[in-house]
Amino acid sequence: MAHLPEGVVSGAMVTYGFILSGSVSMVVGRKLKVQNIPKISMVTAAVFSASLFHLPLLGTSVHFTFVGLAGMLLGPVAFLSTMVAVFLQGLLFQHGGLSTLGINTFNIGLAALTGFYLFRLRHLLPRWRSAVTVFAFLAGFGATVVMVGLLSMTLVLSGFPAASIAVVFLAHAPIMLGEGLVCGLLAAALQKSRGEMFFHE
Amino acid sequence: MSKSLRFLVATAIVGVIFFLPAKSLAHRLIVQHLEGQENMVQVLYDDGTAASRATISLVGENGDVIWTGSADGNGKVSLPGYTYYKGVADDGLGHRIMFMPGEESQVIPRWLAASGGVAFLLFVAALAKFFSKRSPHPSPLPEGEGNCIGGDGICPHPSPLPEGEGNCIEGDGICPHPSPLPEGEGNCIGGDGICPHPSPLPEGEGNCIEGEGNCREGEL
Repeated sequence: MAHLPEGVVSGAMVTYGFILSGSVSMVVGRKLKVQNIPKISMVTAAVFSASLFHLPLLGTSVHFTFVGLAGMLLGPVAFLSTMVAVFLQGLLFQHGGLSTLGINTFNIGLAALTGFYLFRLRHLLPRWRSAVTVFAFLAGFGATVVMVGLLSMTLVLSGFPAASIAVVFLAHAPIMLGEGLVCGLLAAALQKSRGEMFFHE
Repeated sequence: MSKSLRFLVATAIVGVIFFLPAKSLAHRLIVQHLEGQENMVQVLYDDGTAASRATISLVGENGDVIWTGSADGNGKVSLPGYTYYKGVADDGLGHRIMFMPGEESQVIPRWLAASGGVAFLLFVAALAKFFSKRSPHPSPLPEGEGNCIGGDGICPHPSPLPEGEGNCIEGDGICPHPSPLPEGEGNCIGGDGICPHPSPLPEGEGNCIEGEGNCREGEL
């Protein structure tokens, strides 16, 4: 669902998608370091494979993305990670199209950045022992909300009726909770190893 | 947690995600012509879920829509006997596929597509890990003091300093644990052995200098 296929959005939207995702990629690309590429590749493989988890709901089919998790582990370069994952999903699973790669990358990548910034808020409460788990849940949940919100906005701007947007949000509600739980549980497990795998600025 | 253990944990996470849904696929629309039922097609997501919200529009050679019909609860649509140029199935939620008369949607086997993608990413990871061992700047300090020598980013000797103080341990030039020191003082943070900022501290006091991630002898 998060991937818009060919022919759904207008030509103007396709162009805006490439301009926006290209601009963000250039900004976050400055933070890319060669020694971090193995970790980025592993997380990208997880994001790529996440779409294999699907739920048939409300007459449609929705799937996991783990974009919040990517933001937690990779920081700003999670945007680049999702771009590669979306490209491979389009190429190998035919999820999304090449013309919609820009808008799909922007929608999903911005959600990953949201996950990163939400998870970073845990530093505001350094003495709260559950801060990592709670903010990881919020990162997973919030990132999915933002992703579905951007997807809905894209659909509305492409002429889809408001009723469709309501169905999109309702169908994704279990995914939002699921992503939050996965992020929270994984963060709690990683915290036991002193949080080495989290992104540190 | 050691580097190899971390790599194993990450690989396990990817493996679990990859192998658990053994009989499922992710979503896209597929149009199948049903055998033995002329002009009857079924619209499905590629995980096998029937697209009960789908509508099918048939387009003539001049580009006009000549017929529109909705799928039933099983995603089945009975097409009219008209000759048409192409058909478009749309679930109204952002999934859409175009099909030609008598043509089946092509599906790459899931295991092949997923294996290809994961293998490609693991190859990139391995390649980057190989090249990231090479540090562009050799250390000016003499060999044997726990710092990186020869521009290869590898400490030839374990550091004499205690573990967890931002210095090289185990001879691999990487901080195995996040430093307990505050960020921004040039020491290794986050267990990645990289200085986020050049150090304001004088050279040779065990901290990272000039953002190169080299650990020097001594303590902060």
